[in-house]
Amino acid sequence: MLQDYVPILVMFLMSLFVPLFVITLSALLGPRRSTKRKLAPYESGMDPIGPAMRRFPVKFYVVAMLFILFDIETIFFFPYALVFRELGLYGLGVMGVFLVLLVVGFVYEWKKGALRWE
Amino acid sequence: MQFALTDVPRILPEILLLVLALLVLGSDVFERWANTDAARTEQHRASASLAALGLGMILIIALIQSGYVYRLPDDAPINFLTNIVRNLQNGGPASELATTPILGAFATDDLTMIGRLVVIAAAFLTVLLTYDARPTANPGEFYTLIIGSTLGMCLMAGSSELIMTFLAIELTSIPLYVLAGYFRNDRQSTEAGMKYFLFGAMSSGILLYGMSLTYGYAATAAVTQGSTGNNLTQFERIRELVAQAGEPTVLLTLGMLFLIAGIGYKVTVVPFHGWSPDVYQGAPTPITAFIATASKVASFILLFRLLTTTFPVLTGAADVIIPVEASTFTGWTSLLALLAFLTLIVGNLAALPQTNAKRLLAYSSIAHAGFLLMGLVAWSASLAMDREAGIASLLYYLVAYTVMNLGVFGVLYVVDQHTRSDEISVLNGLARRNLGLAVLFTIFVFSLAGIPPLSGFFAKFYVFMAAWQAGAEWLVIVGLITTIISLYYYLRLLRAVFIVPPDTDAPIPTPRWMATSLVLSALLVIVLGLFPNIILTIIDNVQAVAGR
Amino acid sequence: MVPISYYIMLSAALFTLGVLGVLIRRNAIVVFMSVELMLNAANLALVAFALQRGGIDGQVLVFFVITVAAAEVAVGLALLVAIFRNKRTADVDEVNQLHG
Repeated sequence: MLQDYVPILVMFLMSLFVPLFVITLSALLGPRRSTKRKLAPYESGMDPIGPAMRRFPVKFYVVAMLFILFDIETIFFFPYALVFRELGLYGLGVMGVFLVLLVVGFVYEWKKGALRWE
Repeated sequence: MQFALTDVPRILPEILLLVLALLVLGSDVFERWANTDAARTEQHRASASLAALGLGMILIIALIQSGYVYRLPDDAPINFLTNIVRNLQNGGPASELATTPILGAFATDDLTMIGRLVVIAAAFLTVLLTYDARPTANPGEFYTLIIGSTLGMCLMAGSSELIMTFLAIELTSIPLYVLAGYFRNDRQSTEAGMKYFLFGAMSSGILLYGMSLTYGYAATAAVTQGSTGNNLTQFERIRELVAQAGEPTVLLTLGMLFLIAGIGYKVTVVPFHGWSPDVYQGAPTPITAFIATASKVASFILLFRLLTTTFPVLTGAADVIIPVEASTFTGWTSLLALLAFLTLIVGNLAALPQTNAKRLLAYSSIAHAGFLLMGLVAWSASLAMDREAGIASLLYYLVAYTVMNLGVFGVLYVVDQHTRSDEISVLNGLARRNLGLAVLFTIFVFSLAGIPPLSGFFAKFYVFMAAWQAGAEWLVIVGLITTIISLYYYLRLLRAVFIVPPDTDAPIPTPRWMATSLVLSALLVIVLGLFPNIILTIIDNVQAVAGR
Repeated sequence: MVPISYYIMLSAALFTLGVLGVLIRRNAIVVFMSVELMLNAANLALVAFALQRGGIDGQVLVFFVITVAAAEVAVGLALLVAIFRNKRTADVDEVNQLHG
């Protein structure tokens, strides 16, 4: 009964030890040269202090929109992953068509420069 | 139930539309930004000609497949050509396959076929109109959106399942939102896009809620009956469950009301028409033409299929004058009769004081939705023959409505290209500046007003007849009165064209392909008016489907 | 198990809130959010009915609604950005070039 949970225990231990190991390693080996910027709290590159009602560059909207679109499309892959053995070639074909359509959209936005940051 | 290979020819037009959309998009991928005017024009024309050619070919393929023009006899010799035709027609509406929808979701019967032909033809004429126009930004995208939306409309015409219906409506609407706001730097265009989006999104919310209630009714009904049928989202399945459960309940009625309201937005029926004048006025003119015609055709066909296959229990009677109280509400025909009444009155009266030609035509198109609804109201007739007359008149009206509106907006577009305005005043003295254009405009406007030899007259006549026989005499009388009122504002347009003197006598040029599109529409308006039997024989095929 | 009618009542309430939001609020982004609320109210009803029935077609419809809603919002935001560039406002009352 409890033996069924051994893999979970192993995973738990792994996920405990690997980060600890990495952190220790970098603490021991890494050089430490602090600058003002490095000591500031990490906010994904934004200025952490300032008024909250600020205007964002419109580029963020474009990337966010594209992200939402492609992110949501993965919703169809999860159910497919559950039944792909039963569906066999038929399901593969259907998902193939779906993927091709997604990729065409992706190539278009890429080539049109929607992903270029500058 | 799986998708079989024999199903491929049945949805060939849709598959080809998808391929065409990808091709048009792909042809634009590796283009650099065009910096000079000449380069921009060339880029625009490349995309436009690809889209026009593709749509034309798909239209021809669909025509062959339908078998309306030429039906391959059974004893035809076997060779390469006849094999192609035979395989195409085996997927067409006349074959045995067409009696069952693909996966229960997409019917390929005559109703779908007629919808497809009208919608693809409308897209083709729209693209022809834009060929000579000032170049748009990213023409590849522009035409891909048009084709994508056409694909959505084809799916809408054939959808016989709730999931398919929702997806088709969204596939139609979302590109149209973008197209309405396509001129990013033009305030009117972006505003039109925004308004269309807000109203459209709200209407899909209402529609979806109606779907969930209908689905819920069918689901509960199935539980009480202990039935094990799957695919509850299919229209016919829902009808069966309703029939098993006996009495329709509040849940089902509510669901139907929400569905009618949701689709009512798309077809600009009166309490839900608020968006259309603004959107029609602000959107680029060819897109206005496309929204006004193709999307309405598809929505009406969908509305018809939905109401007649899913809610035959709730048909009701149309002879009640105004069924306001809940106790007199007998079904969707009485509701639609009320909506038609409001639509006719509001559409025609609001058109009277307009000074902007596109806005005036927007109200005229609302009024036409009222006439179209009368074709659906005729479904309340007790005799099957009268009901069939109702659907035939509806379809005929849709075809006539499409060609004349494409034409009239097309003329406005030609003038707009030259004068950059769409007030009625820019039409002043059009007869002196370009007589051919003025004549075409007159044909379209006369047809819209319902002047005898043209198709608009016969369409109105037929719809009135069908509604009269169904017992909606009061509605026919309202229709007649509002038709007379409508003459006033249509004649105002013609007065500007022929009587009011222009500011300048500079001729307005008509580019070649715009002229082609307009002449094609005008020919259809005249021919369908003089020989309505040409398409009435085709429309008669639908009866077998609708009568069930 | 929670009775189905509870879900339906919640969904009806959410839907009403959504409609009210669309009709009353003036900021276009808030209007978007209200539309989303309407869609999600319908989703809730669909899932509840599908649960009652033990069917999956209602749930499948919900999947599609979620993706379509994302596409719709992307288009709506793009249009909003275009309007904002032209007019510097997200208030739907101030977007009033077209009237008559």
